[in-house]
Order: sequence, then structure tokens, then C-alpha cells
Amino acid sequence: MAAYTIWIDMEDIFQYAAHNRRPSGIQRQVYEILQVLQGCISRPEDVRIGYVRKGADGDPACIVSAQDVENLFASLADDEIASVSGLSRKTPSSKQARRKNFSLQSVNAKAVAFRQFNSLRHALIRKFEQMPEPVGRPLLRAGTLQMRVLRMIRDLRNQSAVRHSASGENVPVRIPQSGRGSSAPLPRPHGMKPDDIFLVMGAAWADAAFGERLRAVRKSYGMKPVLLIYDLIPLTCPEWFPPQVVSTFSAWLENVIPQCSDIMVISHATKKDVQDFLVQRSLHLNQAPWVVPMGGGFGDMSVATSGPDAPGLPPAKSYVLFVSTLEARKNHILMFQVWARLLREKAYTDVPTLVFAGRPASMVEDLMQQMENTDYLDGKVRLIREPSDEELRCLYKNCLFTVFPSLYEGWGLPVTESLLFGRPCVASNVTSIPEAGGDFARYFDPYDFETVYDTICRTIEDREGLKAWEDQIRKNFRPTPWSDTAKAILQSCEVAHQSSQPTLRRAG
Amino acid sequence: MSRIWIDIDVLFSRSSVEICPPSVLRVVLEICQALQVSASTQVGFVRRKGGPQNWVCVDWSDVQDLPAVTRYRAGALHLTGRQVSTTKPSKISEGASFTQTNGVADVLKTQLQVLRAGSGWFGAAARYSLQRWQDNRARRTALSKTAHVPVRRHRASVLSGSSLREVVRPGDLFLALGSTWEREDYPQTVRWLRDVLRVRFGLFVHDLLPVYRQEWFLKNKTSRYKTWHQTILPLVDQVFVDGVDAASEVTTYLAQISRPLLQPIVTVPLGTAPTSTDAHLPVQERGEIGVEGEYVLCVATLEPRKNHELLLRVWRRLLQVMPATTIPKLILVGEVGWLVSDLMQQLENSDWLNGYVQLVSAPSDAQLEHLYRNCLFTVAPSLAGGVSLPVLESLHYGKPCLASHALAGNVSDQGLVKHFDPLNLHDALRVIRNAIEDRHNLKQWAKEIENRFKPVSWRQSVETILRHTV
Repeated sequence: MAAYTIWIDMEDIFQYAAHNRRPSGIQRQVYEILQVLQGCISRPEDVRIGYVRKGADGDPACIVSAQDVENLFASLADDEIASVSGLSRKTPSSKQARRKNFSLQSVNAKAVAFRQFNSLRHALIRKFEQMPEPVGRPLLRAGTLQMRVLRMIRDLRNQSAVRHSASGENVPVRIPQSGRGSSAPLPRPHGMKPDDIFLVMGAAWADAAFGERLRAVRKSYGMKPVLLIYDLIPLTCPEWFPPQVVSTFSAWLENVIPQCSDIMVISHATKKDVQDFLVQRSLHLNQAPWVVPMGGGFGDMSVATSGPDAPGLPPAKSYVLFVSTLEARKNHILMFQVWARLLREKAYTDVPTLVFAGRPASMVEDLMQQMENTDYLDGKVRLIREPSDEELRCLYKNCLFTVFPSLYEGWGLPVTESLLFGRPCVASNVTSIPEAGGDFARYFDPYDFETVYDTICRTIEDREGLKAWEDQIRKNFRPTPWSDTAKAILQSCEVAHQSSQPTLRRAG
Repeated sequence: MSRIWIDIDVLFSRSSVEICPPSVLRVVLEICQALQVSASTQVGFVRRKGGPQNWVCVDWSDVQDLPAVTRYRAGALHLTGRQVSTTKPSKISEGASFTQTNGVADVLKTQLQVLRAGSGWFGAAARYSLQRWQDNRARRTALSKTAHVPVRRHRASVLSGSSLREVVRPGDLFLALGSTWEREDYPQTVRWLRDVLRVRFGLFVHDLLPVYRQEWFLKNKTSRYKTWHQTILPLVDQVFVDGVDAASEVTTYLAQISRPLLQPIVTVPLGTAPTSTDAHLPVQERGEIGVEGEYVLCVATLEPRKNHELLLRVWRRLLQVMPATTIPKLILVGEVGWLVSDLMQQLENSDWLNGYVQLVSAPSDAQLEHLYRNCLFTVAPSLAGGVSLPVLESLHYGKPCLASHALAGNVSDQGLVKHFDPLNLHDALRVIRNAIEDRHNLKQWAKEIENRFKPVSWRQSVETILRHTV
């Protein structure tokens, strides 16, 4: 059996870190998988792990050290954790820390500029919206189109960065002195072999030119791309995304899927969406997408139950928790409506607080205003913005139960997390969410308000039932370890690798 | 004989849709017009000129040219929907490298659109300023006629421009028909009317939703609305409402603040269609509406209570389960109100559901009638509300109407409306899909409406008011 290396593409996470301070679902999942991946390799002498990202010199894949990847995730981790480990991001004290944090600082500066630009943009939008409609309308339209132009320019620049050395990214990696040109095979960076695996686990669709990069990796370096797909929501529900994202994502998939040696998906629901997409676009795969079991939990779970509570959070057992970024798809408005009705029909003291833990993102302006109109339902709704990992643990640990009314998911990580903390979860029954919650969560139809209200009402009232439910979770719930996910991914890579070596396989 | 004095201040003000919703304005106008026609000797119109005790008479003929009135005749039709010139980002085909020139061309093309949209602003601003100038002139003319020394004699021997104090007689009724809560010193007016002039005070309450569903309204509106009604309601000699829902809201609220009701509440049946549209829309104007093919109509200001989002989801589902050619368009008629920016964003993002949704703003009465008469049926998914003018209008024009349960329980629809749960997508989808697919049934239903529906004229509304006042 030939030895091979699995090259994991980190480009999208580097890009993400340039604009964001906190990891979102996907970055978290990639992080957890990477933590255990090495340990799950059954033949360490034959299978090695390496990291790559897009090179600054037109190189589709240049090697990144494990240390760089570690730093990358550290930059996305909590401020608290950073300060504990002596890495104060704002004022690096030692020379070493200064050097280490150099890239992080410029990343931060970029993020700050991005935020400032965004707040300016929102201020302008509000200004235009306040104008009389006939006057504001052309300005709003001009603004929308201008944003589209900026995005197109950004995409163009990203594309050219693949082939020309136009990228201004501060890449903390070795830049290979390789030539370029799409016809002649590129000299491979040292260590890369044909039939190595090019593993894409992150949110690579942010890069419109990814298809070309993948082609270069495949044709020039001879590597086998293996892709992990989380969801196809921009295609199934385009109303929740800017049109540019939808068309980019669609073109990305059409372009990338045929090039992949193997495709993994994170749920049966996503598998069905992928298959529907393939039929719709008349694309064909050699084998159906694999469903990879999703792990659960984040960071060190043992701290969760033992450590002291983070300060400033709602008192234990006084609240119902909803962990998620605030966006239209996650359906916070439904929970708001349920709580508004609870308060109309019940005594104030009998209604637990509803805690939203997350960051307000796209298309929740009106929800935020409705909450403001009611003074956050007279204090019965609390929005804990951008909770840290530690705060999240406490929030989970001390809640009555969690809710997850999302309208569309690729998996539904908050449901798994809730169960991991032994907390009952009342979730919506659509798409992949029942896969995440299994027999341990209870479900409602998010499109039928009456049943949603009844389910939540009953859960709040029946404290004994809730206790029994908790016990059942404690006793019977077996979380899927991240190592299962890692093993499935490794297996998929193995199959992709072997498919390229028919002789060897036959001999074996 | 006692007379009725009607506060028509709202017609002179330039209020936003949130302060004066189109449905309220419609009721005010129609009742005034009908009163003017059927009881011109008993009715006088007044507006405020200064302080809370300074009211002057207005001749109805001077009101005719106010923008609030003329817009129903003329309209200012505007269509929003799928953008015709959508720039498609150039497709990256496998193998062929991304052609940069193409990308640059796309960028330049879009940038050109930006400039075009931006330059469109000058025209829009100029048109808007002109419109405002004309509106203001009309308003000023109407005001100047009443502001100076009385020039004309009203048929009811009320001098236009004369002070209310001089012409009012004890036992008269002062009637506030809508959107008067905007004036915070109104209690002073009411006290002055009742205690000094010995005039009875009547109030038409459209709803108390800002009190009960405050999430749908901006905070300053709810708090003012609440305080205003808390002070005014106990002083009202006669409360008028349009249906049982509003009546129960008023009694509940009075019980809540432990205040008595002076007289039993009177329910006024609303007219089932605008009076002003007698003539059909001329042929050449029909094409100008720009709505083609089969469509389902939803007439409602875009605001959270009206639940347009449900329709968006229903149509999204229809697109999944029905052949695209058999799905009618969804035509939304109404102004873009408040708290719907996310809905608008979703419509934009989905390219107005691939062109299946269109928004028609500010049609004239004739254009609106044309839209009603040519639709398949109408939908009203409101989350709360009582009597809904669009439901009545739909029946008046012989069109079946699918309305939310929240709009059920009113006798005014004469049992000809089918209902669904506005908070249940499956129910709404089932009912709407059924209506689209079963054309035979739809026809039967329309026939039944034609045979059984008894239109109510605004004159009948006015007769009810007169019966309880004079």
C-alpha cells in the first residue's frame, strides 16, 4: 500500500479569520475534527496529514505549518482563553508574542475597518429608508448595485490572485518559487505527490475562483479532491441570501462537484438535497455521497460541569435557551411570538425568560425592532450577544431546556450540544434537525404555530416530565465523538486514494 | 335640530401610513362624503386652527382638492417586482479559465447601472418636490379659504372659516372619525366641547391593537396611543366601531383601566366598496397597470400584522409542488409600511420569487377596481384585525376571498368568505392551492357571491351614525 498525504485546505478559514473575530459553526466543526484527526489514523506510517492554503504567488496550494494552523484557530478563539494563555491580542508584551501576533493584528485592523464600513453602510441604508419612498428608492437601488460592484471586484481580485501575484494577503507561509501556466504541470511543492488527497472541509464556496484552483490542484499536482458538504441552503432557500451569494454558490457547486473524487455530506437531509441538485443539473457522480456522522461538543467538555459559573448570566433554571446567530432562517421570530402569547395568557412570574445567545446578523432588523417595541417583552427576552465558549457552557448547563426552531439546516449543532450538556431540546422537525436530535429531542412543526405553542407550553408547565426527560438523556444519550467523524473522513480519503490505484487495489 | 361636527384635521395633515393607515383614511373620507350627500344640512366639517379650543369650519368643496382626497381619483401607480435587467455573474465553466474581460465587462455594466440609478434620483427628487409643491398649494388654497373672513355661505348656513365656538349649539355632536390620537392635547378639546359648549363627543375607534399587540408598532406610537385612549375613552359620549372585535377591545380596555362606558357601543356597517368609482377604467389605462396573466390579489399595507411573509412561503411551496405554468402570480397592493424591511429584502433576494410576486403601490380607485375584477381570488392573511375593507371589496366585486381566521366572526362578510389559520403554513397552502386548482369550485363560489352578496353603501353606514346621534 502506497503512503499518501491528506492535504487539508485551510484557505477559507484564513479568509474567514481576516473578517471575523469569532468562529461560526463550520469553523468550530473543522477545528474539532482537526483536533482528533491525527489520532484516528490507523496506519500512521502510510497516511500523513498536511495543511495547505492558496499561495501568494499564483500557487493553488502551498504548505502551511501546523503551528500556523494552531495560531489561526487561536486568533478565532475567545479573548479570555487568549489572555489566559498569555497571548493578549491587543498589547503583545514580549517580542516573541509581538512577532507571533503580527498577522493577527493586521487581521484585526482589517476586521475593524470592515466593521466600520458596515456600520457606515447600515447608516446610509437607514438614511435612505427614512427618505420619502419615491426619493429614497433610486438611492437604495444605486446602493445595492454599488455593493454588488464591490463584491464583483473583490471576486475578480481573488480570482486573479490565483494566477497572478496580486494578492496582498500576509501569508505566514513559505512561498514556493514555482512557475505558472495552466498547460504545463506545475512543479509540485516539496512533499506533495500525485494521488495525495486534497481535503476540503470548510466553507470554500466563499471563493468564486475555487473551481479553477481545484482544477489546478487536480490537473497539475495530480491530487484527488475530497469534499465535505454541509448544506445547499443558498440553493433551496435563496430568499435568505444576497443574490450574488446564490449565483456564486450555484456556479461553485456545478463546477466543483464533477471534479471531486469523493463527496461527503453531514446528514441524510443534505444528501437528498445534493442528489436533487445533481438530477436537476444533470450531473453524475460515481458513487452516492457518503453521510459522515457528525460529532458534538466544543472545547473541553469536562470544564463544563465542574467550573464556576461565568458572571452576569441569568440565574439557573430561570430561562429557556436558544443558541444561534440571529438570522431569518433560524426563526427567532417564532419563539418571540410564542413568548408574546405566553405573556398574554399566563402570569408574568410563570413564564421563564427566553435567552437568545448569538450575534444579530442578516435580516433580523424587524425582529430586533419588534423586540425593542415591547421592551424585550418587558424583560422576558434577553439577547446575550456573542457569548464566549465559557459563557455558552454555563448557559447550557443552567437552562431549563433549549429550543431550536430553525426552518432549514444542514445538521443542527445546537441540538446536539444541548443533549451533550444533558439539556432537553424542543426543536423543529424539518430537514436534518431530527437527525441531530434523534430520539432525545422533542419536535414541533415550525410552520404550525398552534402545535409549537402547545409543545413549548407543555414543556414549561410539566417540570416533573422535564426532569424525567433530563434523566433519560443523562442515562441513554451516547454522543457521537468527533473521532467518528474523523474516522469516516479518513475512510473516505482512503477510498478516494485507492480508486486512483486500480492495480494496487486488485493486487491487494 | 342638532348637528354633527366632524373633525377632518387628518385630511389636512401629511401623516405617515403608520399614523394614518390607508384603511382609516378611507373610512374617514367615505363617511364624510356620504354625510355631505345625505345630510348636508345637519353636518359641518371643522379643522383645528391653533390651540385645542380653536376650531374653524371648512366647506366640503374646499376639501375636494386636498391630496388626501385626490389620490384616490388620480392615483400614483407604481410597480415593483423582478428587475428586468438582472446582471448574471458570468458563469465559470469547467476547464475554460475564468475570462477576466468578461468579468470586467460585468463590473462596468453594473457600475453603469449604479450611475443610472443614481442619476434617476435627480428626476425622482424633482418629481417629488413638484408633487409636494402642488400638494402644498392645494392645501394652502384650502386653508386660505377657511382662514380669512367668511366668504361663502354654506348650504347649512354655516360660514366657512367661522369659528366653531360661534356656530355650535348645545346638544350637537362632535365626531372624531380617526387618527385623532396624534394630538396629545385632545383631552383639552374634548373637555372644552363637553363642559363649555355642552356638545356631545363621539369617537370612531378602529382598533386598539397598539395597546394589545405592541410588538407591531413603534414604541412612541404605542405609548401615545395608550395614554390618549386612557384619557379620552371615559369622556366619549358615543363610541362607534366597525365590528365586534373592536367593540370587545374597547370594553376590555375600559374594564382593564376601570372606567365606565357612557353609552352602549354602536357598530357601524362599513361600505363594501369605494363610492367614487362608478365608471370602469378606460381601456387605454388598463394596459398601464402592467399586470398580466392570472393572478391572486392581496390588498393590504405592508406591515407586520398583515402577515405577507406567509404568502411568500406559500408561493415558494407552490413553486415546488405545482407545474410552474399553472401557478398564478401574487399581486400585492399596498404601500410599504413599517417593520417589513426584512420581508422586502427576502423578496429582492429571491428576485421577487422569480417574478411570481409583484407589488402595486398607490393605484387609483379605478385601477384598484380593475385589479379586483380581473383577479382569480383574493387573500387576506392578517394576524389580527376584525372588519377588513379589502375582504368586503373583494366580495363587492364578485371575487372569492380566502381570509385569515382572525378576520372571521364578522357578519359583514355574509358568510361568503373561506377562512384559514394565518399561523399555519400547511393550512394556508392547502386552502390556496385548492382554490387555484379547483377552478370549477371557484366559479361556483363566485356565482354564489354574485347571487347572495348584498353590498352595503356608505350611505347605510352614515344612516347608522345619524340614527344614534340626531
